[in-house]
Amino acid sequence: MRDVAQAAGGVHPSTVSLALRNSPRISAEARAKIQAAARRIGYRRDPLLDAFNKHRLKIIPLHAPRHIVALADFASAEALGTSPHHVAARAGALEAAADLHCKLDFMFCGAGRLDARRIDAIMDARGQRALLLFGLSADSPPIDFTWSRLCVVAIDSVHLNTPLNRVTPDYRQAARLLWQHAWSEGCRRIAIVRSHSTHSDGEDRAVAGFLLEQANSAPNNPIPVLTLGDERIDALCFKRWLRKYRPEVVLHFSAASSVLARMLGNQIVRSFALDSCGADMPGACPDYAEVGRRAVQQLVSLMQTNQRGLPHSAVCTYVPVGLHL
Amino acid sequence: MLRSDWLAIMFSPVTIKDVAQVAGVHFTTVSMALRGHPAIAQLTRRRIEAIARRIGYRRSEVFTALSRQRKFLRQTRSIPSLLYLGRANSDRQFFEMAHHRQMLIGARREAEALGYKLLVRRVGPGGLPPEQLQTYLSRTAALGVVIGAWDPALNVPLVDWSRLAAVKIDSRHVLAQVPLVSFDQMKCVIRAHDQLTTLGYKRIGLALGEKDEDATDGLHLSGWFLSQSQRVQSVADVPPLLFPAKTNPRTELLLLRRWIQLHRIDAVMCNWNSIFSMLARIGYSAPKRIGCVCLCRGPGQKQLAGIVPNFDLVGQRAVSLLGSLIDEPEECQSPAPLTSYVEGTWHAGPSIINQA
Repeated sequence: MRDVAQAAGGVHPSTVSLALRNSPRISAEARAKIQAAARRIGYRRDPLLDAFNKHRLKIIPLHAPRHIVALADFASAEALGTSPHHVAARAGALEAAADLHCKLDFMFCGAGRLDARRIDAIMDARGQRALLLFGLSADSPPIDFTWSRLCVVAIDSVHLNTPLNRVTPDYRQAARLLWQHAWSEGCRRIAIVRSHSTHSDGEDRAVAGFLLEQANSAPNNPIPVLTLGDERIDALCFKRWLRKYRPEVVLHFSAASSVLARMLGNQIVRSFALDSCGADMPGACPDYAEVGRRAVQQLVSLMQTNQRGLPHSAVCTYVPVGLHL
Repeated sequence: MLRSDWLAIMFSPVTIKDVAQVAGVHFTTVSMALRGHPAIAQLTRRRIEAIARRIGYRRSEVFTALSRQRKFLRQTRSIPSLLYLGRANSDRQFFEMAHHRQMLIGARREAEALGYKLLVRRVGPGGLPPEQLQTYLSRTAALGVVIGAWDPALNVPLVDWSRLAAVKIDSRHVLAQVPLVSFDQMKCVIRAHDQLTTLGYKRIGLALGEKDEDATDGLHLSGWFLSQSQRVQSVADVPPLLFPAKTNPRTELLLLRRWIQLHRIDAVMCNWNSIFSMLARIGYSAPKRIGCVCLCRGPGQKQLAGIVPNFDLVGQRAVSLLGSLIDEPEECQSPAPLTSYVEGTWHAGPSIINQA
């Protein structure tokens, strides 16, 4: 096998072993190259040895667990514990990792922690090939990895300018469900606010779902999307908007809820959160545990089929949301 | 008895047949008992184990390993398979459609990489009769099924889906609970709109088949409204044009011309790839009199700018998702299906030009 390794241009003997067993963990080209080299120098696998190895593996499970590195923009595990969505996603990801015999390690790139380049070097040194971008935000430090080496799936993190396979809650569906719910309760003046500061795909999709419902059921006299920006101007804009359109129900993201509550003052307007985490906030509940599970499943599938690097075209997977009213 | 015979008996290893003789059973019973086969009663097994211990029979590790290997090889001759169900009225219709072909290429690639064999069956005349589908599915050895882009017009009722893991490509009209993989029509409208705006087109219109928009759950329109809401509009918006489901080509052309004239449209985005010739027939040849972008451009249409859907990646993602559903321990019931969208790729073409 060492001879084959040398003949195939100095690969590691274990690569040869995997290639001769036709394992998908080795890329198809490398497999073909190594198999050709083996044929050329006349290497044949020893069937008795194969039988023994298989038997040994059967009685002593030697499987080194596959490692997945989850990268989160927090200072520590405790800090991550303060974000309910991240906690749920972590639980789901750990559960899926256990089911699929993987080990999931967290690394933190929050304030005072490692930068992406350093993490890249560490993962390289440890031979870790699977990266789960764990809900990074627009304020997260820049992500710069040697992508060609990695299998990568992202949870949310839609602001990143690289084509990535992502898993995220279906906020378009959330907005549509909330609209339909409000409509069925007799509300006719339904509005949505978005925050200007965080340009996010989640918000975009929620707005898209809202506008679609609006066009379908109330095309005349629509309420335009209100974008919250600078606070001083906001208060004015908001008052004018409120007076002009008199919404009965406002859809919003939970990040904007405190601003909204302050500006609404004692005005009685019902509000629904698009990303409620249960508790006392009525609205749509994204299932982040399921998001975490699906992300790990997709990552393992990429690892099994040796699909490294950035995808040719991004694939985004949307996990359905439920209503909590 | 010769001395050598006696020695041979003394020192020959104890075999499974010796154990069988002492226990008074057939040797296969001994073999099964020592392997803990469920067909052997517990009492018998314990008795045989005790006898084997007493007379010193040990299973040969080498032999066990070899026979296990042989059994493994025999088993792997039947590779686990996945089923890809197409729906068309003839093989020709199915395999000549570029998007079916590409989806199959991607699906097969991923299935092979994951170690599955992909069986392809077509539901329809000359293939699998629709009324026999349910029976076929209840008997198939396949572990999972991909429902490959079924046309809502050729509906086949499907019930009882609990036994098989399933993923569908498009086909929103069947099996509401089954995860869905599709092409990202929402992003594709946004991308095309951006491209046209960058080139300086001002009055951009979106034309869609009403039937197609129903089949995509309003994705094109979502993208359109979102894209419009993010732009400062100085003049009134151009309303989208929906070609009615039941109509003829003549009416479609009339509708298109009236819509273009009424809203002074300078660029049309459409999900039909016949849009280029439709425009030409009503006297609007692209790119001279109007810009034209196809939202679902076919592989051969070099003259047309637009989004090329990566159907092979759609097929690939469907099988990858199916693979993880097969491994899943239990079925989780969610209110709506999981959806996975593959982005298309923008291709520039001579049907649009810079307006500056």
